[in-house]
Amino acid sequence: MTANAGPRGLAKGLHRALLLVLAAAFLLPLLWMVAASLQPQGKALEYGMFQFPEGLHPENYPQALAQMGGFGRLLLNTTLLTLACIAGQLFCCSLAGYAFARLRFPGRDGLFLLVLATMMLPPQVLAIPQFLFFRQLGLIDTFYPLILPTVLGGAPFFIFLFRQYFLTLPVELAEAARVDGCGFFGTYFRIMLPLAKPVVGTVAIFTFLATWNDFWAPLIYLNSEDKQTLSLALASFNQSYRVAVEWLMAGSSVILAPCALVYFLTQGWFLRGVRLSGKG
Amino acid sequence: MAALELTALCKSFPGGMEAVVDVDLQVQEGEFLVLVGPSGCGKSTLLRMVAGLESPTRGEIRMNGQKVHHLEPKERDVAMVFQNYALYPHMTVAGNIAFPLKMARNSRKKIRAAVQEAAELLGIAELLERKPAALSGGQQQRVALARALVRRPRLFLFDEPLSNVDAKLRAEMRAELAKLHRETRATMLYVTHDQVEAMTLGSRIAVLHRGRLQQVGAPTEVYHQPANMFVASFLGAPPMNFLSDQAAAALGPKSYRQGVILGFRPHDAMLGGDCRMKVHFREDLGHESLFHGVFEGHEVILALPGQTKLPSDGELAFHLPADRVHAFDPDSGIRLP
Repeated sequence: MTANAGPRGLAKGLHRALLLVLAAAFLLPLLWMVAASLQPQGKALEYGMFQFPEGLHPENYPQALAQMGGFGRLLLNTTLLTLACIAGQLFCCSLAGYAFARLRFPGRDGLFLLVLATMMLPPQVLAIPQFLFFRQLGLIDTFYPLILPTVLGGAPFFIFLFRQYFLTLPVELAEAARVDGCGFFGTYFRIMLPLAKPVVGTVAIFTFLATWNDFWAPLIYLNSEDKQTLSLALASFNQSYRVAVEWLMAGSSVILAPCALVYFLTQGWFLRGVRLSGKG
Repeated sequence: MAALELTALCKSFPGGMEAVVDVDLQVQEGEFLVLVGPSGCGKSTLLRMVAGLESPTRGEIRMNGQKVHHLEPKERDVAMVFQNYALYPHMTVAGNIAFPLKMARNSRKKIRAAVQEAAELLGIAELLERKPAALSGGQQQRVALARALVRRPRLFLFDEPLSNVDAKLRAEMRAELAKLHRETRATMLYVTHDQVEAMTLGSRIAVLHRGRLQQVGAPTEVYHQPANMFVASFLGAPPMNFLSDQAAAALGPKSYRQGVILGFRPHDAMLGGDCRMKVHFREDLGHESLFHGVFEGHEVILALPGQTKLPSDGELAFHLPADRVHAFDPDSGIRLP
């Protein structure tokens, strides 16, 4: 036992050291972001990463938010968009996953493979046809092109996640519900969906993070100032001849704060989701 | 009019597997009919067709004279108890029991009273606020029964409900089910592979083998007058002993058609007589002893009283009442009169 304790202890120590190095590598940019957001104007890049700033400048924050223009409206737009996407993803992906797991219909498995195959398409490939499609429908400069893909099964991975989870639930539960008086949707809403809480939580968190931080889709579809989202507004700091790094970092810190908060509040769900999905 | 009537009911699955073949069966109002057979004989498929969870390939299902095989499970007014209980894990015991009544849009007051009544009948009134995960197997079983009972459906369906509980609890639950049936006089269709359950619970039992109905009758009738060799060997523990017709002379003066297969139950053998069995070993069960050995060149088992002494030469003398020896057709296996 003593003979084993040494090598085992050493392995454990090395393992921890490696994890600490990795954690530091991920944490450093965040720390730099916060540090840079407190630097005097024009000095963030000059000082470099490891130099202590000459005094803190929290006034960068109100200035940055003012510069973004109508922070309240941006926050409202982003929040509404995020909530709509979460609702859309949860409703459609869970329903599709349930159908693929429990409904018997010809070609079901082939259709499911087709859904999975769409995961192979990079979003950049879809951008132009999707843009043309939404332009045909007259939906450019509205929130619909950002929300509709979530409602129309735009996340095959989440469909996969729900399907796999529903497959683990005993078939008899749905059958008992049918005998007890539920139809298809009754069984789904009253029995299956409440039992799929771990996946619901996971999908909600993943969708929140993806939508809240999304820059690409709002950039393509939203033109009017009153429809801008937080991530889009951040881009206004990148001007042609000057990048206001301190304001950019202050704005980024503010935008990232809810993500960090959501992550810390829902760590358990998030990790369970990662385990369920095999991501990471 | 029968509470449940199955006519030429068939079910085949993709790939040509025939699970249920031409089953004709009637369950009378207030009857407890047990459908018994080995694993994979199609009994659960048959039950699921009655519940509406599977659709028949051919044939008719009628309840109180009305065709139901096109109706959804919820429209059939049946309640089902599943093998693994199928309690909704996210609901409390009260929520589980109340669920079918909620679906039927009963008033809250009525639901509360019905849940309380069902819970008291099954002795689980103090468990109403617990979740299923916090219950023992026997308690879960009772909740599943209460959930079925609370609706007062016209037909109860049981799909091997006691197969997941231990032997002691199974005996208790058997007695409770029988009591429940006596008190409610409800029509019940019960599926099991356990012949003890079948014999003790059923007003009548129906034996199924490879999707085909072999015999329907009162438990004692099916036990003492089995329709064929399958029924004879499936019901009864230890199973019936089978002998060739060459052993007929040793069994007694009665003559049999040439080539028939003879059979007798281990419990029908009585000590003393002209039959001689060479005993290989015995199993003492306390109240009885099972003697395994060879009689006229055939492996047989005799069940005799527990204190039976084996002679020093290892040969046991026994006899059989003539009416307890059965003759079966060697080709079809059907019992001959």
